[in-house]
Amino acid sequence: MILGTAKAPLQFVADATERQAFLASHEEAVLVSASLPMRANLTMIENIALVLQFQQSLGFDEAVARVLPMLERLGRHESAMSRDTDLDHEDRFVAKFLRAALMDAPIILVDRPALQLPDIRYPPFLDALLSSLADEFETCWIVDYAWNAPLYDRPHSGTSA
Amino acid sequence: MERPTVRPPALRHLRLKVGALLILLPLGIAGLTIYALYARGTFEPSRALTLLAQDVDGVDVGMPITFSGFPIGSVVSMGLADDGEVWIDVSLKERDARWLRTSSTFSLVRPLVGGARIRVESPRLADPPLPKGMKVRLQVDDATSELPEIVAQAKSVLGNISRMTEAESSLNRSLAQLETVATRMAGNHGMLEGITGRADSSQKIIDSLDRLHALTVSLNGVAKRMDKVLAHTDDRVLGDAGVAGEARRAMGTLTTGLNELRGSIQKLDATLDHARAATADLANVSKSAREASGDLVALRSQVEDSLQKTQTLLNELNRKWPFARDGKVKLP
Amino acid sequence: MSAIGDFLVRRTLGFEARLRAWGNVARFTGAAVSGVFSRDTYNSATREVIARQIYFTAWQILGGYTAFAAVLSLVVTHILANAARDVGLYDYALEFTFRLLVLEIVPLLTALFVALRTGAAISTEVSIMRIRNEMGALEQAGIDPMKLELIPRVIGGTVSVLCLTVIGVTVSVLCAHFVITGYRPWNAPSADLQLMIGKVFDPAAMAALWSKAFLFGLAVTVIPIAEAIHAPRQVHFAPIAVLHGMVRLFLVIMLIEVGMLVIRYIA
Repeated sequence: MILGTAKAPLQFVADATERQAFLASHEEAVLVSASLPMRANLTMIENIALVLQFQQSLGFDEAVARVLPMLERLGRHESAMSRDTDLDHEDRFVAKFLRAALMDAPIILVDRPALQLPDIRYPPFLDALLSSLADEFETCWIVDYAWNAPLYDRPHSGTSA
Repeated sequence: MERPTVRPPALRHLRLKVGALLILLPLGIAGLTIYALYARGTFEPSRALTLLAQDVDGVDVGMPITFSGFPIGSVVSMGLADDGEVWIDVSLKERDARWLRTSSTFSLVRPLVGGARIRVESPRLADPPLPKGMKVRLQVDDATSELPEIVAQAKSVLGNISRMTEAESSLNRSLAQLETVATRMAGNHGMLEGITGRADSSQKIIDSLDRLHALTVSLNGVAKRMDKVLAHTDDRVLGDAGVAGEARRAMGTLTTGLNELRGSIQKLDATLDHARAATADLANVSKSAREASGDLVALRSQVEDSLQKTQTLLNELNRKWPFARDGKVKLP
Repeated sequence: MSAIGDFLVRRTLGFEARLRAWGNVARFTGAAVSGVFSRDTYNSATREVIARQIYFTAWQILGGYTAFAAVLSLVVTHILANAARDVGLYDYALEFTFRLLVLEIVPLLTALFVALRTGAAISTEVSIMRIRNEMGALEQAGIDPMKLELIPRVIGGTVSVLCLTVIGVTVSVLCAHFVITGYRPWNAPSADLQLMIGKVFDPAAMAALWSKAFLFGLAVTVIPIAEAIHAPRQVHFAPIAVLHGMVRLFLVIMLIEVGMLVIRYIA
């Protein structure tokens, strides 16, 4: 169980204002948010590989060689060649999270996971994802509203002040 | 672990196709540019030649020099020499230099349509070739310089036409007269009245024509009889009541008749010329007038015909008349 | 009184907006051109976008475009040749054709064709990209959208227009020769074509032709993009951004054409 640990702390906020204040106080963090979509005319794997192509000047094949194992580890490689409209919410979330993880940022902020993963009970999904990618990121904050806290059902999860 | 290469599925041979276009682009631009330069003769050796002229009016740098209609070079530069003459430096393609002979002429041609050019003519290609660096005189052959004169002439012609078509112009008066003539022609004595203007004078012409006809017939008879006389006997010829005497009398009548006829014909000729000139100039002359002029021509030819016959007859008579050398019958 | 005041205010605001739009175009053009010459614009991802842009803009329409250029050249040359023959200027028909068709009409129609097809597509795509905040997302992921999406489109579009112009010019020169020689190109003295090419395509004309094609290519991509990235981020503004971009593009293409004519034949 990785959620709620120091690697993946939970941050519950009372309302939108508080959420925005929290996001604003972590400007250095990389966001995984519903308002930051994938490029619509690129496939899932192209979207992720872009980061490596730009930041490490890798060729497409090299970048894919790095990304594909991660997708396979998460069981998402079937969707690798699909574009945004053909993906489900979990695929999209994985792509956006991988994009953030590959940037080697100190903090990743997952903003309102309920909005990005509307069709499932998302805390277990998040837990599985983060556990499996634990070696790819440093810290990942989950920012969620306080009323969703019971979904996580974790004794050591912090609540907002 | 072997993995299939992950590639965007839709675009097959993307790299190959785009690569082809990227190669085509510089090749195309460079190729077209170089070909255009080559076509201009940039890469060809050229030869310089200097033309001398009094007047450089109309000559431009870049003006083509043609031989048999094909450009073989162009004007490179020009300037004014110390003696007031103009020099024009031209550059000619080396391979076209063979068309230049010592007898070649260079002339500036300024056609009414199209750009001016310098034309080279080499009438005798057997002559020795033109040496390098020669100075040749440029002749100016200018269609446009005659233009003001042509325009002035055209203006005067137009002026004449407008004067002719004025209400009081002589042409209009002639037309009015022609109409009178045409009206008269429709009268009793037809076109003779039209020409002479009076019914009785036309009657006179007709009478003289009739007389002439009669005369011709009788002369014919005389000639025939004379042939007989000449063939058979000299005595009868010499008698006063003989053929010769008859012929002499006939000659006298003939001369009078002919004089009369000649006068009429001269008058007729003048009228005819006038009428013909008027009809030729004017397409819209009245129908009767046009027919009348046709009649006139026919009449004139008839008269001429009769005259011709008479002349032949007289010549024959003169030839056959053995005695009176000084008594030659003369046509007036 | 207040109606007049309102009217004046509206006109002034409208004029200001238009001025700002032209300023945006100029600024984006500057940024794009300087981006073209920057080394870190080029990586495997941007090269791919350039390649795709060229593929979609030039390769996909190559066959149709070549056929269009050929038919247009045949028809226009035929008309010009017949008109020239009627007035006794057949000798000049090839020159007319080269000056009118090859130097002016073909590059202009190429630009308009690409504007209609690619300009509209780019305008729409960039508008949507911006409204969906895909650009923000890319920036967040450390990817400069200017480098990934905009400059490659400018490069690809310009290269495509130049490519198509090269092909169109070549095809129309050959077709004009074909018509002028009475459809018997093998019979005609090849010097005729060569002489006329040498005469019409002087270095100045060639420079004008290629710089015009380059400017057309730049305009076809830069103007729709500049219009799209400065439109408000609201869905109902997308059609307006596309509309403005296309109108401005048409205007600029005409300005380039007329400007080049003025420089070549009047100035």
